[in-house]
Amino acid sequence: MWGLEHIWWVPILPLIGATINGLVGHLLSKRAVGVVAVGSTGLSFLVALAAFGNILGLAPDQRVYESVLFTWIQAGSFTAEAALQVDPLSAVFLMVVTGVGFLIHVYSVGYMGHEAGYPRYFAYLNLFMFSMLLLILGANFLLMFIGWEGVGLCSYLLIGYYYEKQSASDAGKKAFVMNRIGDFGFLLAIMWIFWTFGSIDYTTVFPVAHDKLALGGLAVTGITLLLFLGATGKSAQIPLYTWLPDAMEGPTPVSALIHAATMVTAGVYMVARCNALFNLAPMTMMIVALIGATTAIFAATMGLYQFDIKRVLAYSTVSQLGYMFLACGVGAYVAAVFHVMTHAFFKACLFLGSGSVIHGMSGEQDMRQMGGLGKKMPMTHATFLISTLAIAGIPPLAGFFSKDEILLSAFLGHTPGHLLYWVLATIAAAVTAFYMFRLYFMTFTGELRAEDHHVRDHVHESPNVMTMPLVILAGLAVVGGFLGLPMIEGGHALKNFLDPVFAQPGHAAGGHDVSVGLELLLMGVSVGMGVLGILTARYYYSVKPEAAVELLNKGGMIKSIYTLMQNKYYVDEIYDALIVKPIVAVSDKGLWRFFDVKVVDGLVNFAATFFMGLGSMFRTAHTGLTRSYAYAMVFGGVFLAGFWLFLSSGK
Amino acid sequence: MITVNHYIALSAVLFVIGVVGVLTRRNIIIVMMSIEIMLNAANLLLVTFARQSGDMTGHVFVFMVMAVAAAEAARGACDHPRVVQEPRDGGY
Repeated sequence: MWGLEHIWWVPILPLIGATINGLVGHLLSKRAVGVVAVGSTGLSFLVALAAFGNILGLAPDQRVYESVLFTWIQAGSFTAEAALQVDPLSAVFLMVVTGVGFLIHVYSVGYMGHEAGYPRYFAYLNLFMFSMLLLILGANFLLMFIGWEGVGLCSYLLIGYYYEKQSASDAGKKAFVMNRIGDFGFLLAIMWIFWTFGSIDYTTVFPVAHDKLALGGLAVTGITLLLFLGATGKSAQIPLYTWLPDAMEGPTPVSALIHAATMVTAGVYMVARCNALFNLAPMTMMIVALIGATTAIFAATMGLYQFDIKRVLAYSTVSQLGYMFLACGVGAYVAAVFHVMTHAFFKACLFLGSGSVIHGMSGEQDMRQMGGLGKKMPMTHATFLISTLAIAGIPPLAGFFSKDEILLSAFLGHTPGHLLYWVLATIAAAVTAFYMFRLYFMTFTGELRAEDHHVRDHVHESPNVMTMPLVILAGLAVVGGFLGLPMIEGGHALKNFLDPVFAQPGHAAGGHDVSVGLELLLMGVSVGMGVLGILTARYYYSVKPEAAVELLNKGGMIKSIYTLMQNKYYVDEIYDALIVKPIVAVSDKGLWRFFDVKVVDGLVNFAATFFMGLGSMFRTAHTGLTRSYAYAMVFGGVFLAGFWLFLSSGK
Repeated sequence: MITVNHYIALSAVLFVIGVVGVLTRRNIIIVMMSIEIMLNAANLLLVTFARQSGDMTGHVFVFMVMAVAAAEAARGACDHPRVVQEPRDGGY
């Protein structure tokens, strides 16, 4: 079959692109660099599309294709093969990553056109595509880990793309360190899996998990908690989410590709991939759902009063990822993957739209300087509005279907506390609608507030190479949700496609036993919350902006809550005080000034001074006078002879 | 009656005289002579014991030592003027 058999080309093509642009990109023209980068990703997308078609053509229970290239590591009983696996789950991610990735590459050609490090940017971006595809296509945990680390590296490199800027290189470092904490958990989990199963291949581990591990036992709970620790790092969940808002220092297409559409969903992919393990650990599932729901509401409220357009979107991403984990936690993996997909469409569109706005505003990111851009940037405006409606959960746009499915699953879930999660997630939906429309109204309606004439006169619609991806993504944000049809009484297209991956012995992941009336009621509630959020935002930021100011000027509770949220609950400061400062203090005072200087250096210096002192003592004996040596020899001889006599006389 | 002990005592006295000579005198000729005395003390012991045990090996040793001592004396006689001329190389 053409497609599946060539699955290796999907990750390899971007790698070739990265190699060309990384090694000889500076010798090529900008046009050639763009052609290499976009071309390699585009070809990769075509191969992926063919492979996806092949998968669809197979019978539902045979939709697993494995391609072993070579045995990579062989040591004792440990074997790791360089093997790719395509099944419905990776196929969905494959389409999202290559499709959205390709569009963002196209967009980057326009957006990054004026930048100096053009080949460097595309080399990193292509390398990212390679790593991400390896992550989702790898047939064992080790390959997933390689991809996992690779995307982390590329994320670090691209956040710090403007490395001359202190804040950018700091943000890159922060992302890298935060991710390392999670990676450490992931790595331990892989070792534990090998220890338990004697293998790290998906096809060996998952089918026997049910027999080998006790339900809720220590091993499975430990493994899944460690895996989830990895997921919280990569997917920016509490407590490791603080790197993602800072990651907005990177170029905007990077934020769209890595920090919205693909890399940050790797955690969701991993949890969904390991569903066989997670289903055996009810405690982990509860923690996953709890963290997901908390992150959803927590990050949403942090996004409420940010003024940086990209930061609002960043908190929104954290919040939406929380929804996905909530879905995983209540066992609704299909809903989680569905939301990954729809989120990739509308959030990539939102980020690229904000990039288009920033491009038009000559690099300005503060929404207080914007306003009234709708008239000047009609395409950006239209696509942005569609995506904003989608994220707010307004039917019939994509976000509505996936979010509603998550809310429904939370409402019906088996996990303890699922009704609480449902309440949190529903409130978060209203908050999301509010801050997204606050962003929309502040940016696109009213009057332009920028005072700088150069900025005011320069505002313009972006070129076609940038608006076309926006249009396509907005289109997907409109129709993407229809994969979830028919949504009443379970069993929609995407679910039928994904079900073989999530089919569990004794655990029905889907097929809600619920009346149509209740489903409609819940739908009404979630849409109602969205509309409520939109109307509130419209009142405070479009109809009567002075009302918001008045409310704040009254002071009291509202003012302090506002300050608290605007400062992101001081979480960065708390982490700084509780973790960073003590570590720095211990390293500085303890490890450096005491252990290194006093103990390590002290030992070395002691060895040197001790023998120096000893030497200077004996040096006086070395007079260079033959006579004194002769004296020493004679007395030594006399002493030895006397000693020998003394010994022999004792007998 | 002269016994083996007398020879041993004489040999010890000669040896100590040699040692003291080597240690206390600064003149190289005297030092070499003192060394000869020590060698002869040893020779005397060798001869004494060889005679007591009736074994000729000790006598052979003595001839060897005397030959080496003669060679050494000849060398010393050659060295002396040089050491006097370049005292810094003398080392004593």
